[in-house]
Amino acid sequence: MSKRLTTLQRAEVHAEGIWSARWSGNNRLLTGGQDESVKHFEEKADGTLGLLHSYEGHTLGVVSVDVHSSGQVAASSSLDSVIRVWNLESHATLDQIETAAMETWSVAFSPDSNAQQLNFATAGGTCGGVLLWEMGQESSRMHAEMRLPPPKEERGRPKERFVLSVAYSPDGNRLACGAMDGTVALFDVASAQLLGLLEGHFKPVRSLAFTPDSSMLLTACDDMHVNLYDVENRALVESFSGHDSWVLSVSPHPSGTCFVSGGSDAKVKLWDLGTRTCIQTLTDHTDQVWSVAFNPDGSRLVSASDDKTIVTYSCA
Amino acid sequence: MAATIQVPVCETDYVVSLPVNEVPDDPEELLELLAAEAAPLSTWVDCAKAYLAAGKEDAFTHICLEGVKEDVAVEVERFFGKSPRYEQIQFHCALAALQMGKARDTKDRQRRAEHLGAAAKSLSAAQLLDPQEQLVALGRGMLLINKGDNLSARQEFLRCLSLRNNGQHNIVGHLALAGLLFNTKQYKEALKHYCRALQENPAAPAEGLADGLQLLVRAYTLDPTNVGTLVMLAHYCLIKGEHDKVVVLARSAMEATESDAVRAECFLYLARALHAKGMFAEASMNYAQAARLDPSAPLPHLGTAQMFLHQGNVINASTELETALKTAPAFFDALKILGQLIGGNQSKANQVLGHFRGAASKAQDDAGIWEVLGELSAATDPSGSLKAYRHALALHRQRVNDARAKLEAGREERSQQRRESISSSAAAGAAANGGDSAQAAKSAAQEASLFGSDDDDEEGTAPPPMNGDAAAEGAKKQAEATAHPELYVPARLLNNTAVLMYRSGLLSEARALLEDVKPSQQRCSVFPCSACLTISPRVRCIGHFHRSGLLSEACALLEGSQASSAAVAAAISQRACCIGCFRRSGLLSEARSLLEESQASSAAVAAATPAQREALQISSGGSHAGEELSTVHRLALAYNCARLQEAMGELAAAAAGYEAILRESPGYIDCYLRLACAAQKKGNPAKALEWAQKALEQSGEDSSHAADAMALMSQLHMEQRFCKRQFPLTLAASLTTLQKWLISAGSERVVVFNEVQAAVAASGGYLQIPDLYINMANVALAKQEYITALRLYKIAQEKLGKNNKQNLVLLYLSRAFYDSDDLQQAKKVLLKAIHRDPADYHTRFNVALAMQVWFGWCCCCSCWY
Repeated sequence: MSKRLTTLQRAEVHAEGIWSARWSGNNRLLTGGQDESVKHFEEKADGTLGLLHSYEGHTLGVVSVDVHSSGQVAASSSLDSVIRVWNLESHATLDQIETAAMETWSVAFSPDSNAQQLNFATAGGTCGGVLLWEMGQESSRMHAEMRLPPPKEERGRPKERFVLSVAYSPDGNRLACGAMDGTVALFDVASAQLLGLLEGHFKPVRSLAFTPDSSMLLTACDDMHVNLYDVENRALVESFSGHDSWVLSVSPHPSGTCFVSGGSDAKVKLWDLGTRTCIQTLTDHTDQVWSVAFNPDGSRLVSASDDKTIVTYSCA
Repeated sequence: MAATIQVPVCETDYVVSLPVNEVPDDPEELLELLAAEAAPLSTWVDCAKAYLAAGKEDAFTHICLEGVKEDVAVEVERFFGKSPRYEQIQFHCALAALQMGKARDTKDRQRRAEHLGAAAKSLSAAQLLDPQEQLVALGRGMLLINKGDNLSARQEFLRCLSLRNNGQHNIVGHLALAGLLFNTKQYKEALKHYCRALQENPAAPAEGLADGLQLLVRAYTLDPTNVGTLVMLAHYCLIKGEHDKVVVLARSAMEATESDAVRAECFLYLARALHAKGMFAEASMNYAQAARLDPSAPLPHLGTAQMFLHQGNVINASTELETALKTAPAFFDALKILGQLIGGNQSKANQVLGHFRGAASKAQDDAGIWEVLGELSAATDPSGSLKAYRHALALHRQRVNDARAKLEAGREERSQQRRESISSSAAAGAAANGGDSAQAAKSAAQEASLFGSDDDDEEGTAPPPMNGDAAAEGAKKQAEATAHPELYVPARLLNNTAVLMYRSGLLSEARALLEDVKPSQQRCSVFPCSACLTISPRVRCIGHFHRSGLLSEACALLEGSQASSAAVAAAISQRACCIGCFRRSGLLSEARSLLEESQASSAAVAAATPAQREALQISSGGSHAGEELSTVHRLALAYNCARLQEAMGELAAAAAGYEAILRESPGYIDCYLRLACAAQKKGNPAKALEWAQKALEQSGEDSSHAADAMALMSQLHMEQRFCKRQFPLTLAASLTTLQKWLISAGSERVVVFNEVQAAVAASGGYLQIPDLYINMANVALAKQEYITALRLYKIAQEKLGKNNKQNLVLLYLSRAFYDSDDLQQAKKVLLKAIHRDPADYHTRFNVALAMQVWFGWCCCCSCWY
């Protein structure tokens, strides 16, 4: 049986467009957007969302948020080039890391980090690579930098590779990043070595995600396609077409049977990985859908859009 | 009424003929005879009529009363296996009619009421038997007329129109209604119903018409020179198709009359008869005479137009049709022909569009006129056009479904017969060969295979397709389409509707329609609207440039005809490229040289006719659809299909489609251009350039396509450079250019601008040229009309939606906010832009610049940060 999504509710929760949304546990949500705030919500019994806390501090739009698997710590990255780490229980700011201008974009927690030592990765924007951060009791430090191979020079000037997206494999061994020029790179986390490039995109790859078994990688690209790659062989397995504009985000279902994509065409699409077809298209949003995410047990989906709303769906 | 009554003799093949005037005096005697021979009740009815004709009302009543008895019905049903319900209704109604006749004859009010009461009783008895019988409703209507209640009678007759007479459709409802209307002096309405009756049953007029004809003939014999009679008779003959008689009658009528109106009518009938006989020269002379004598009559003009068409003189034909329409704006036939004639001529189309809308709304069931309406309004009112097309499509679908059901039923019946014949022949074979059952089986099989190969025409002699053999299935479908065009919606309609859907953004629906076309592809023809699929790449080509000279051409594009819009769009791209070039002159020498080259060839654009347009013109001519043309159409369809796939984001599939077309027809330049665009969309500029180069090579003499290819190439070159060099002040520079242009252009351009704006507003959001909005907004911004500029930018933003030009608009938008001192909004917009494209230097520069200004500003008034 393939999955179906049912819209639970659509709520305008930010003053401006929402650019990122993640679940912190099965019924709590973290969102960030253009209005510079990071908001934490709880889904009540009646399905409506109650605001737990609004985290202020960023001075330009919040590009990306991620929540640690413990559900207690979150990180956010903003256009002001600052990464902030928050304690979701005490609402305290655990750390704030300032990077050079435009040198941070997406942020992702490593699955193997624990309460004592948090590891997370940020897509490094103009620095052309991925930065790995380690956060101890006191403060964070950068412990590794994974650089993309230098792009071909054109007229004596190296082309810039703005790195937009980053994702850990669920087993914690691999890390993938996507860049503005369509480069998708695969790294080994332990050795911080580049394993290779995944070919097929020439346009910005704004979101990517490993399948739950860590064997496949899904990439969402401005070329209106979601590509599925075999991680081990670094081979293109399938190219999903159906969005009629940029695909902005992608999220696999924890069961590994299907995945969801959100696009600039304001649509959220559910795809079956078995038949490799689009099995459902949801049109609750009126503007581009910047972020989609399943909760840990796969019973809920959230989508966040430039129309200032998030939509929650049940998935069965 | 039959002169003899045929009484079938029980259990033999003999029939006893009983002359009507020799019926026995005693009805009981006759009934005994009928009962003995178990004659059907319809014979009883005939007998009753015979008695009535002989004036024996009592006998008539007796038979009728016997006939409606319950036990008679039971007996008949037992014997014939069918309830004689209709016959019994006939008896009841006959009794009612008799009573009504008596009521009419009597002057005593009391008696009259009694008769009418009896009639009403008979009718209600009849109604109990079958409330849906037309005869009863008719009787009730008559009763109401006798009571003087014409209004209710009319209702009753109206009901008759939808009822059936003994299960058969019958025009008697129309006739009754027409008679009633005639008596109440509503001649026009009456005429309408007479016409309907004629329309439904022209070949064999039901009794009313036959009676009418008989009366006319009698009138003719009484007074062979009565003009009215002659004219009427000519009309009847015309309807019945007896053209020779028409000629004689009309000529003698003409000799006998002095009145111009009547003579005109005679000329018209004469002309129509001659027309039908194929004597065109004489017919057209007579049409002309008729038109001269009665200039207000539309029909002679229609006839003349048909004559002109026959000679191939389209222009004169449409003039005649227009004359006809002037006097009769809703003249359906004329409209239909005219619509087909002026399909390509937009200004004329606009003139008659109003008439068409009126006519179409009156003819909801005529797919033809809706299609023509859609075709005519495609350029000026695309949403209305789409609506019309949808309506036509729905009608066609219904027709197709009906036809399919019919065919299916026919096939079922045939196969049933075939099975029976096979089994009987097998049985016969078995009998002939005694015990040799193998032989019998073989002969049966032979027989069967014979039937199989000599199958219905739609399957031909090909063996039945294997399961899953899609190709064979497709071939069969195609064969079926050729043999049974009525089974398929015309590909032309599907394609045109799809094109309009594409233009209004209904991609998936359009796609579904085009998929539908495939089975009936063979008989497709494309109409000029398909050109619009090729316009958009041209408009897109312009895209990147900042065009100040666009407006006047865009205006022409809006108002201009569909056919010429491609050329206009090409011209726009020329101008646009040049201006874009000027702005960047020092930096982009390569692009510039390309553009200058295209500029040189642009002079020829207006005169040159692109190959595709030519093909389309031929196809809209339509009369000689040969083998060669159908290839053109098929390719156009395939192109549209791929174009849709491209628009829906299935770039790989679209590219495959284009390449397939190119394999078959390497000269289809649009395909190269689209392949280049698709490659560009995929972010592969090198490949895109390659395709564009190929397009350029292929275009050769075709300057319009060459211009397209060069524009695209220059855009690609420019995009590549754009990324490499920083243009922090592009915006300011472009705006200055724009401002200069506005000042130099003077009032004329402002008028044009306003017209474009009005046209865009009037199109109700249908126009999908966001570039136009950007330009208009830029103009407004330069004129410091911030509110207008902001509104237009927002519209452009909505239109672009899924386009990578969004960021450009966002930058303009922020500039507009910035200029109008709404810094907070400007910042928001810039943030959006930078979030979409963080690697974009302009945005980053602008954000930095803006932030600097804001920080300064905010320090002063301390309201921010």
